[in-house]
Amino acid sequence: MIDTINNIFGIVNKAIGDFVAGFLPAWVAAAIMALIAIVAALVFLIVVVMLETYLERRVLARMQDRWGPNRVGPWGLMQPIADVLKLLMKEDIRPLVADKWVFFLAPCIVLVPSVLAYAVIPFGRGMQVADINIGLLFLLALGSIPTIGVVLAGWGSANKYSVLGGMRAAAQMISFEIPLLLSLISPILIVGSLSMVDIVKSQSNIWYIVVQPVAFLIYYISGLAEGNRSPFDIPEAESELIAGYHIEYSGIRWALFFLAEYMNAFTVAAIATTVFLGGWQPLPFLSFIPGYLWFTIKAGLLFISMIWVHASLPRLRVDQLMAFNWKVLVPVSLANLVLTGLGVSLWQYFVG
Amino acid sequence: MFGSGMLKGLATTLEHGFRRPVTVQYPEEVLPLPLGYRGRVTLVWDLEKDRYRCTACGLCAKACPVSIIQITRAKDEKGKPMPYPETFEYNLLECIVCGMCVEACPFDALTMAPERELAVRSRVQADQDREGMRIDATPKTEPQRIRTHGLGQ
Amino acid sequence: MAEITLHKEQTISTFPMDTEDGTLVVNFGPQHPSTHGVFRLVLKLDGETVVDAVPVMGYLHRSVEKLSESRNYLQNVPFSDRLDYLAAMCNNMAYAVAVERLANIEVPERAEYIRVIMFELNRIASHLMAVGSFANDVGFYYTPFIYCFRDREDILDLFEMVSGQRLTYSYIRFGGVSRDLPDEFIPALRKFLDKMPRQIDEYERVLDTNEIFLARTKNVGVLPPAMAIDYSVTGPVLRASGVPYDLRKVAPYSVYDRFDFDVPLGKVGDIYDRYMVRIKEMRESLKIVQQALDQLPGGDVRAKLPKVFKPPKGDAYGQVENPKGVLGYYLVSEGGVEPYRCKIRAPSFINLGVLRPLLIGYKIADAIVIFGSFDVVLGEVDR
Repeated sequence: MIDTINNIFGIVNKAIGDFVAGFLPAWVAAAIMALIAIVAALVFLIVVVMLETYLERRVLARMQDRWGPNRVGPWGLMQPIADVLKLLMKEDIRPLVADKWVFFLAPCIVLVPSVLAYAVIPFGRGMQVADINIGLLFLLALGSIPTIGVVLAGWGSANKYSVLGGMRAAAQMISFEIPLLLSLISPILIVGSLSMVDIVKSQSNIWYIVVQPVAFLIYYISGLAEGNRSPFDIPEAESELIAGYHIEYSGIRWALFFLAEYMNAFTVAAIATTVFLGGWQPLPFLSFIPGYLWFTIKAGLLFISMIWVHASLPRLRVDQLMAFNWKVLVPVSLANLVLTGLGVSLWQYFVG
Repeated sequence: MFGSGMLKGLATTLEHGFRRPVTVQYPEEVLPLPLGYRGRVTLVWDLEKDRYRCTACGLCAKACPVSIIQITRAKDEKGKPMPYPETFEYNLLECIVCGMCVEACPFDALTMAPERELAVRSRVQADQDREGMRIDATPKTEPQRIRTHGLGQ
Repeated sequence: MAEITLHKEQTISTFPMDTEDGTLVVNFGPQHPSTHGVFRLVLKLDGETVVDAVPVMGYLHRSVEKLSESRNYLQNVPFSDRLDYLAAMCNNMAYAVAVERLANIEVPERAEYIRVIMFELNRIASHLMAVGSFANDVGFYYTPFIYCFRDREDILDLFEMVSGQRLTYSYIRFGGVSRDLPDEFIPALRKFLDKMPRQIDEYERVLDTNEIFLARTKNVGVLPPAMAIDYSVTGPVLRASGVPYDLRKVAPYSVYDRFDFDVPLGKVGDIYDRYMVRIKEMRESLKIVQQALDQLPGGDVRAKLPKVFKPPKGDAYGQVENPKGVLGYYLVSEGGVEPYRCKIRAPSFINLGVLRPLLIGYKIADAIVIFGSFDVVLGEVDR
């Protein structure tokens, strides 16, 4: 029984595969199976992002001694739908002097890599869209593309404030990718493979947060900075003079940036779960809860901790941000990497 | 330890997250208004004498800092002016709710109603004439008047 | 802070919006979430650094001083409410002190003590708002703001009990106060006084030792004491620079000489010190309210005044220590029911004089926080 629930998606998938392969040529069947996997991942993603927007407002409000949205639907759960409907009905404004194609493309360039990242994340046992053997490299590469989108958004708005905002955001995103990379590579030295599925499988004895707590902390902080979340949210700070690179976007265009930010936040949480917290591996005494629920709970708790940090900490000034990155995060993550490398080679030498 | 200040702040917010919120869910829950609340100005209708207490003396109009009260006296059959207002115009939109008119009235003819939902959909609706400003002088409205002191009392 | 070269005509029209030397002129406009009112600041930026700054005010000018000349003394009390609308009791008190000095009115004891209680409670409310919006400017996402407002709600409930209004009370009048305290006020006040010190501890826990907050606020916007005195700065901004000038100690009005309280001072004069001074002043105000409550006598709350109030010919200046600085009312009377001239010395307006030298040399993010630490209310600045 527990096994069935654990593998329910796998069982359904196999059933559909066998049924379809019965009367269709092989390549059509394969295409349909891939499509089903993609749609499933997208549905999960959309539900998660909507829940994220809801949770952000609710949890933030509860930490501030107030209720949060609780009118629209039971416990306010329909609030994200109301938000989306409102944004769809807004007027689509484009500045006349803005470059039409750059203005149009920028949100797409920011959004698409965030969605693509979910192709390699394992949600459960055997539940990923594609198991490529360079999964982590793929994710890191995808994380660099939104930077171009941000610069294009800033420049394409033909507004000197958004140009400056875009430059600042781009500088921040580029700088924080280095500790992100370095902190993710440290557990990889122990695993020996870049494939996400292998990383999760190798944590069946011990989760890497126990072995590499420093790397986890640095990854978490760099992830916050990559996603422009507090305390590194200078590019979108509303009480700052220059209100950010998406100042000229309204309605559904802005919604795309907003969605991309939340998807990024969940991607950071999901990668942290996979690499440090054991992915879908359950805690030994609670293994009756299925793997995909474990994954969601772990990533969800990490996301709620991001909201908690958002509620409690102020924002760093841009030069302090950069100083923090180059003077603290990069040296510490480098040191961590070197120590991990030493540890792994010594282990291999003595233990074999 | 570096970071202990941030941890204290994080702990405080987390602790607040588990408390019951202090906000009030209006309009399902409403907080009671205290006695002596200054709200919209209303004319007091005397139930015994079956008329408004107002004698159209005009002291309230003179006391108002923003001059929004206009009174015209009524005339009886012979054309002689009588101590009763014919029209009492009070501009709700410009009232600063200071209570000077209530304090100035020597006949206890004005009081401030504890109404809090004063939004109207048009300016015409907000211009009140005498009938719209009526309030009955029940014992509940009396104490509101007794405790305000005017100049020279 | 850098050397200042004054422009020949300090007007906005001489500030071209696109300059040749690579600096950017940015309008921190009247509509902005962070300007604490309708205030415009034109900044000249070189990259991130502020090279020059021109504050533009007047968007909230309501000609209160001119209107006061055609209304009698009692009708001017609601106008005094609306200057610094966050500390209306204090403004009422300044006006009352001025009129009492003009007409030599004797105020009953009970009224004096009630006035002190209201004044200090309003100081706490105003400082709560200042600390909350300052934390907001630094970057806390509304969390300390809401905590501060939660306690401010308690104070506003007390004021609503007493005067019927939450923001513009018209309660403290010349001759005393307008109504006596209701029965439920004193127990509620005692409950508030018991609860408040723990709440201030909570603000300090969230804000005070936070490393990011310290990094943002230490040694930013340093105002040397000599410069503060030169620019006639008053209030917490002056005391944060180390100058022990508090009107309640230097020239006590009302019954302040009967209370035992300290005047907190800062050391460096940066924005962290201004925040610290405000937090400490809140604690001192709680002490004063406690002492006043214990010493509260019975009796009248209003002096006997004629129905038509005509002060003698002459002039008088009444000043009080507002939460934002020294508020002064200069009244000139020609013997009639209306003042001939009513001049208001607004502390926020005078304090803004030192904004320009203070902003030069800092980054934009700092500029906003420095402006926030001054705690200006545009109602006062523009009158």
